[in-house]
Amino acid sequence: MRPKACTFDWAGMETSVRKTRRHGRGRASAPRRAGPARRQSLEQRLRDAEERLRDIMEISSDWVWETDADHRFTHLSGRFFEVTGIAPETLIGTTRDALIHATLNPDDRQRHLAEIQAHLPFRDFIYQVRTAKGLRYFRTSGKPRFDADGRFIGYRGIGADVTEAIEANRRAEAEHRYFIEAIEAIPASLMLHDADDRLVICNTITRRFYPGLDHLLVPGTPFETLLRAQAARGFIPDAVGRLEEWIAERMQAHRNAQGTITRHLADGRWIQIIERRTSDGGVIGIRVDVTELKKQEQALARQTAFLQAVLDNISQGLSVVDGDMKLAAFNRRFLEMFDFPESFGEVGRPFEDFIRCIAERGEYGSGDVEEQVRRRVALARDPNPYCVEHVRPDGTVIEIRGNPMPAGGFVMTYTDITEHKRITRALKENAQQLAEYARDLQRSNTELEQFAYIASHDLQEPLRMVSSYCQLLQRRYRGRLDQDADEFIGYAVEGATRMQKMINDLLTYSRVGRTGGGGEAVACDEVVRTAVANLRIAIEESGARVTWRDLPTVVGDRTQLVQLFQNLIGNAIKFRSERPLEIDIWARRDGAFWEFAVSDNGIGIEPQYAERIFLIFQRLHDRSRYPGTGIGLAICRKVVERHGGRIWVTSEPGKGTTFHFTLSADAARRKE
Amino acid sequence: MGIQGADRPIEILLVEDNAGDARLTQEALKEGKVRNNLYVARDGGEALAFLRQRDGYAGVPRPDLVLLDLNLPRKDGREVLAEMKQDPSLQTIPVVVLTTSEAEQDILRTYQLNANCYITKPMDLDKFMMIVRSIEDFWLTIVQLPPRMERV
Repeated sequence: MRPKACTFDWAGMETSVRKTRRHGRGRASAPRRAGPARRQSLEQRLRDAEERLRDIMEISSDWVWETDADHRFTHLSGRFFEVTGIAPETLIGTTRDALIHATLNPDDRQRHLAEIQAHLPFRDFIYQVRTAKGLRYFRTSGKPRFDADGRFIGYRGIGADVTEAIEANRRAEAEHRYFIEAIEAIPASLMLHDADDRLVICNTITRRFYPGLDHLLVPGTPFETLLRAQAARGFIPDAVGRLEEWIAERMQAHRNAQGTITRHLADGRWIQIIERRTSDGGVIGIRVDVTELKKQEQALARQTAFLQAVLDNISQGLSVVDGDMKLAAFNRRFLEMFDFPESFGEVGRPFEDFIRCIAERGEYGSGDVEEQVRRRVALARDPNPYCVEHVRPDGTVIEIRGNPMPAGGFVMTYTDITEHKRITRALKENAQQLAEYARDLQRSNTELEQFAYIASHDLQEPLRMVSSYCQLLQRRYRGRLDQDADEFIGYAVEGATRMQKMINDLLTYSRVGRTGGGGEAVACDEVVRTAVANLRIAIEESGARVTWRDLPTVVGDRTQLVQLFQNLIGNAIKFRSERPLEIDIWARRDGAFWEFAVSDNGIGIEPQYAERIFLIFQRLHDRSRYPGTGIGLAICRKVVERHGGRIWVTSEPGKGTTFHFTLSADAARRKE
Repeated sequence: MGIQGADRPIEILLVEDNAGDARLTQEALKEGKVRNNLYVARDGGEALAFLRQRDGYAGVPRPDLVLLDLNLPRKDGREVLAEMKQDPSLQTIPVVVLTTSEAEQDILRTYQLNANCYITKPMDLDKFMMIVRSIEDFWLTIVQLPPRMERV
């Protein structure tokens, strides 16, 4: 900092300065101890020295100062004013100590004061001074002065403003500090090698990458030395058994200083090394521990493989397309379902390729392939979920569902619904056929009922004629013709009468189909009471005891229900045994139905007839013993079925019979 | 015997397309105790012509009682009944509907048309005989009929 040019003859200068000042400008006063010739030469030398000194002082940026024995300023050269802007007169008489605002180190001041109290020379004492230009750093050196008797008479010295140098130095130090802090702060190793591959600097974290090699992580260590030490400790699996080759490769890479090296260390860690050339031919190396990243990468790869395996094993096809309409994921089934070439199975392939492939095969029908592709791609881009069916040339039907993905793109699933479609179609056809059958059946039933009604009604007229005139014959001619005639007429009358009954029954039966089944709330309790009342005479004659309990209210046709109970009770009376007849009627809830039972202790029915008895005009017994047309139970079945129930019989021949039937309980509840 | 006058036979119009039925009624009335003249109309048109003494029925007597079957060819019994009851000159003649129908609807409709009574023809001859006698008894001996009005 201090200019070298400042070394000069202090002794000579000092002498001449003092003399000059002491005698002012009195050049006329000649030196005391000189002869004329010597004086001439002495004066000449003195002038020369003085001139030299003046020149030097003018050139120098330093100033000159003097203090007395009390360290008060007695003199400050003009340079001081020029540099500091402080007029020297204002300082003459004040102590140097008063000038010191601060020192670089806090104890410098005390040391310096002690120094000058001891009258010792000092050099390069730096202190801060408040000046018109603000706080400035002065550097000063001084030498004590003594008189001829050796008494201390003050100091003489020079001073200079070194503020810029100090501040530059401070900045440099700060910059260095920042640099160190910066490289220490980064979470990666940073190594700087010079052009000779010697380590210049590295941050502390670097030690983690060279465990146990702290002693080598010092400036000056050649890079190769580090590599060998590392390999020697077995850290580099790559180098095992091929040390020299590896060193050569590694040094080569180091010198190229391009790209990234990813290294798996023997301790399991993954390191990523990035090397770059510096402007002065060195190399800067950055090392990052990417073990966690690598682990995640591996976990992700495992997971991806797992998912892919899952996807490849589902029966649906699947493709995922990203926001750029490129294939992002897919499964085998997707390729298989559309017979895409094997080469299509790559992530990143434009989705358009798949559509074009299908279009070119003509699977979208005839027409411009490009137009078809455009339309399909537009459909696929639709941000709304969609579902279309695609029919392949072999008849396979594929249902394609598209759903947008949250981050753009969409996922599509492909389901082979050929079989599903076939079954659905078959079911639909079946249902249609069934409905047709039902309609036919309904029509045929209606027609039958109509036929039965009309037939029986219209048959009544002629039959009545037959019957009436046979009876008229009987009435007017009995005993007037011969006995055979009486008998014949008797059979004719009987047959006509029986036929009348059958026709009547048939009419009743057909009426059940044509009317009623309606919807009034009917209390079965009351219905049974009515039926029993209607059968009063028969019940009294047979001595039957009819009991019933807890019968519900149902919805139906009151008249038909009365007929139902009446027929069943009547049936029990007709087929009673020798035992006193007991008829019991009860009901119990069975799910959505009420199950009714009418049981007796009569003659019973052989199980093989359990079905036949419900058919119209079917009789199991001799007419003379058990009269009747055989319509009663057929009517019962019709009434029950018209009410949505079913009827059946359980019986033990000789012990009794129970007729069971159900009526819907839902309708009952609705009405109640 | 009848309140209409003992010496005059009762005039009965039977509207019946079935000759067998007509004969049966005739036989039944024959067995009865009231002297009567039975006229038979084969369909509704004929019946109304008779009642109004038109189309060859000029001079026939005004019936005291009409026995009307419902199911007739062409104009049926219901129409005959309706026209009679709307005709001031015929509406006072008692009409006994005598039919094979047991249908509630027929019964209701017939009374709505102001029939005087509705009887289902029984299948049994004895019952039929009894019914015809009952009609005879009731309408021709018990009931007070409106005074005979001579036609205008």
